[in-house]
Parts: sequence; C-alpha cells; structure tokens
Amino acid sequence: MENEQHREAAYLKLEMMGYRVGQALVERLTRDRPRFGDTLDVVKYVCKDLWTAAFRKQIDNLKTNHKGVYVLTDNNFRWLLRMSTEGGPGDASRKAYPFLAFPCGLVRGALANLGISAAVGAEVALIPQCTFHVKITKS
Amino acid sequence: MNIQCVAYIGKQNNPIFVKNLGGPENELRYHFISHVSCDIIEERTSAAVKGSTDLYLGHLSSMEDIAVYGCVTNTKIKIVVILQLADIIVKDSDMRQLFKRLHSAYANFVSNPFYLTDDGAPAGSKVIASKKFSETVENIARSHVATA
Repeated sequence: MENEQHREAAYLKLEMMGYRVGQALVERLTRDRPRFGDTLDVVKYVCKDLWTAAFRKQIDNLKTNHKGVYVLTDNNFRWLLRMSTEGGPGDASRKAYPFLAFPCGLVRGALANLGISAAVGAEVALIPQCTFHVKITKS
Repeated sequence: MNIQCVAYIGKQNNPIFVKNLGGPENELRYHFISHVSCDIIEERTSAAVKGSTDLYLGHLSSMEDIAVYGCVTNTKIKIVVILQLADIIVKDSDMRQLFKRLHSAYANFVSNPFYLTDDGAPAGSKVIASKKFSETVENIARSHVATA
C-alpha cells in the first residue's frame, strides 16, 4: 500500500518536471514560428516539431474526435526502444509505464504554455509502442 | 536608436517586467503606455483579423515624442518597446531583430529551473525580479543600433 503511494508521488513529481521542461522548451522552440490558428494547429505542432526536438522522430498517428480528445500514437517511442525484461513483452510494457510520466508532463507543459489546458495520460500497448491521450479541459 | 523602455507583458495582460531606460521622471508614463498597448495588441491579434500570423506586430501607436512597437510570442507573452522619435527611420527588419533578441533573453530566463512553479504559478504570470535578466535586457536595448 505504502509502496503504491510512493509510486504515485514519484509519478507526480516526474510529471511536474516534464511540465516545467515542456513550458521552457516551447518558449524557445516557437520563437521563429508564425502564430497558431486553432487547437488542432497546436496539437499538430506538438506531434511534429516538439516531438522531433525531444525524441528525434514525429508522432506516427494522431486521432481526434473533434471534441477535445486527441490520441497520439508513437509506434517506436524512443525511450522504450531498448527496453526488455525477463518476463517477456507484457511484463516490460507494464514496467515501462513509469517512464512515460515525464513525456506526459512534457506534452501538458507545452500545451499549457501555448494556451491550452489539458489532461495528458499515457498507455503502453506493447513495447515500444505507446499512446498519449490528450483531453482538453477547456480552451 | 533611442530605446526608452522595454516591457514584457504576461499571458493575462499582467506586466511581468518593465525596464525603464529613460530616466525616473518617465517611469509612470511608460508603465501607463505599456498598459495601453495591451489593448492595441489584443485588437491586432484577435481572431477577426485574418491573414496575419506574424509574431511581430510592428508600430502600435505614437504619442507626442515617442513611438510604440510590439510583438507577441506564441506563448502569449507580449513585448513592447518604446522608442524616442528622432529623425530616423525605424526599419521593421531592425525591430524584428530586436524583438528576437528580447524574446531569446526571456526564453533563457524562464529556462532557469529555479524560477517559479514552486507556488504553482504558470510561466508568464509572475513578476520577474532578476537582476541578471534586467541587465541582459538593458544590454540588448543599449547595444541595439539601427543598420544603416
């Protein structure tokens, strides 16, 4: 039980670090970029430019329901690319989950600084594929 | 180029940093002007004005002996520069360059992990009280010379 709480606290802390980095990063990266049109523009920017800057590749798939939910899929997420455990892929996927706290925060911080408040969660389907769920809380 | 004042205005149109280079008697006036420019910036950046996606907003207004220039960043930070009008022609390319440097200085500053967030305030909502940042801005403003 206590272990669970520690895990939660660590996740939150990592997420906050990512948030801070995301904020600072977009401040610099968007310096020479024309102004954004709408929310989709900003999310696209995160998928392309921010992802390239942070992970040297773009998001592979972006889906949206046009009602404020965006699903970003990365088929070869760089941070999970070299991970494996003795317990097989399922076990590795589960253990890789905490490593997504920072990227989640990164996305949330980037969006926040660009004027969109959102909740961001992640999921590892099968390592190294992972999805990020972005839910716009209000814009 | 005679730069009188450089002002950074945050996301909620709250002043986060005002550097007066003109002398103490102008302090209040420049504060006032940078607030007035918020309205003009809002007007220029509103969704109704189609087609312009440039961060640089150009000349905002003139008052007596001064001219106000502004730009807005993608993160909704507004930078306002007040120039004393002399008989020089202000070139947009010069101003763009200046705003770029001012924004870079700001980006460098907010990258400092020890700056805010401990009280949960988002970037661009708290007053900057850094001596170093103040010096950097002053250096940029003083060293900025118009290209012939």
